[in-house]
Amino acid sequence: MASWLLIDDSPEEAASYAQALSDGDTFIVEPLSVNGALSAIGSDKFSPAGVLMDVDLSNEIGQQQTGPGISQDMRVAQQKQTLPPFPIVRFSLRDKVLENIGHDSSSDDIFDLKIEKDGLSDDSLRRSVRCKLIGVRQIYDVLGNDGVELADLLNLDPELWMRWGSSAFESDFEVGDRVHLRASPLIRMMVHPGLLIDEDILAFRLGIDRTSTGWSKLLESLDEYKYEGVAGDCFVRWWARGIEEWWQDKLAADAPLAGSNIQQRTEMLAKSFEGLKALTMPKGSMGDRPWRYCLLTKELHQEVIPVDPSRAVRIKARSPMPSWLDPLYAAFGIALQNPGDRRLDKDDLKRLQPFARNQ
Amino acid sequence: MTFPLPDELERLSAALRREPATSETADSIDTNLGRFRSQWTNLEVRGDALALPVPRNQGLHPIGCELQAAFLDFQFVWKEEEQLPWRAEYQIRVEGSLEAGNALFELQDHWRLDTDMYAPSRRLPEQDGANPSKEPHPLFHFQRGGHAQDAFAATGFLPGTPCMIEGYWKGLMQSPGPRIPMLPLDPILAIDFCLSQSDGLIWRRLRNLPEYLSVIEDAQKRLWQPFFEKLQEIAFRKMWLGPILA
Repeated sequence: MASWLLIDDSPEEAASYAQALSDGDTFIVEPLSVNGALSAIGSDKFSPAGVLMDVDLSNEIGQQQTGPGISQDMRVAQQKQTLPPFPIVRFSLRDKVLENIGHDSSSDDIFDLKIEKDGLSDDSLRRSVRCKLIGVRQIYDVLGNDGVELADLLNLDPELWMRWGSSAFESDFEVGDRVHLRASPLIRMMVHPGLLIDEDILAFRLGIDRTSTGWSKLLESLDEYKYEGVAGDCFVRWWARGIEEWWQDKLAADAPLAGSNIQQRTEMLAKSFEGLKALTMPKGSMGDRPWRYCLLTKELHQEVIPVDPSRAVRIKARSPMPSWLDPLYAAFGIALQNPGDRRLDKDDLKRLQPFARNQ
Repeated sequence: MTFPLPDELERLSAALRREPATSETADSIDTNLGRFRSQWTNLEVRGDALALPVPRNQGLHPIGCELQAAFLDFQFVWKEEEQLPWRAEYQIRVEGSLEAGNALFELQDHWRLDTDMYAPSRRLPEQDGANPSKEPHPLFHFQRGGHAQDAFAATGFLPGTPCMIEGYWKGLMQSPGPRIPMLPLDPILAIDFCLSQSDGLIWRRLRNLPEYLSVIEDAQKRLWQPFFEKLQEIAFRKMWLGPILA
């Protein structure tokens, strides 16, 4: 089995992260120096499971390189088919990303995933990162097969795809003529809420506290809306529009799920399920119709908290977001704690100002 | 009471862009946004041929026809002292075609949402120089047809006279009535209404986008809450509905 390669300018740091991420014989990460990587890429035997690329490579002796620069060269070689397809993942400390990339979006499309080294001492976070890497590799493996169709990849009936999917996604996928180009929309769909949502967002939308005793029973009843396609074991997700359909058709709710508040959602669910506790909006996150998450809390504290978009601040994405991904928000209270963040929407900050004293 | 209608149309457009089927509607709004802003300084907006998704292909006549495009024209005038639109006219045109043997039929369907508030002469007695309607015209009403349909059907229209075909055929007929009372609509609520009537699947998706929902909710609160309150007055009920007795 091919190994993942961690390309880093600090041999000790690279060895330490590689060891931490590896999992016996099932998932192997090997460190590789920048110069080692440059000569390997030039050979015709470079075929790793994937590459974890540091951003700042300024400690390497010899000619200065950057992670995005080498990664772009690898993508060009993949386009020319002088390198085989494999995922490239940005792997760096948050501070180094801010210092080297900041608000520059020009390297965003190069990477399949962006993983921060911060917090990887936590075992559950390491497991989660490992799972994502395995999932991304699975996507590359399946896309490497000839004649693979989107419906097969997603394991979804075309009629359901018409209802729960997106023609814009389909065209973004179809336009790709290389594995990495076709993998890109698929991976974005898994990683970022939009067509698919993870368990945190699902709980926010249902207005339920995930620690409720009845939560797992409720999840079981949503099995038919679960994503069962490629890498489904690594990315546990539900079809967002499937859940909305279930709410209106199966539960026969009067109002759309997004238009109901936490109390209405829990009252509706209590008719069919026991042991459910209503979600409590955390301090700093206003409103009572949770739908999205706070990007700032996720970036700063690796914590996902619910956000009601009508009482939250929009965040300008560094690169334009496709229509099949949800827009980004910050909880108002958290936005107020980060006044220097230029991505925060000024109109929303002004609109919500009357509520500032309660935050 | 005035309100930032162009800003709200911009919010609506951003939400409509999330759904591929309504991205053309969003394009139409964005293209006209500068014009809407300048018109709104006089508290009116006029939209011409705003693209709408074509209706879901269900129960269409004539059987076998193909839908191609749908458009909304509107004229909306607001007066600060009024709580209801002074003029709120929406004309919907759906275009399609039917290939039948060696003939190609260009097809159009027209319906409109109308208001008479700006034309009080329709409600005055005839001897005062007014032109009162013989049939009741509810203040805001739905009606089929309209001038655009009259123009479309003026030439080369079948069935009609003169007629170049022979034999016995059936055709669908249309009269100006009925004029069905409607809620007052601003352009935001009119677009929402058109979307709801043309494709429930698209509309339901949009209504699960909080960004879409909040624009519609704000518009409904602004326009419909005062309207529901005014319905308590019999004089207003008579104006809105027509010949009610209680």
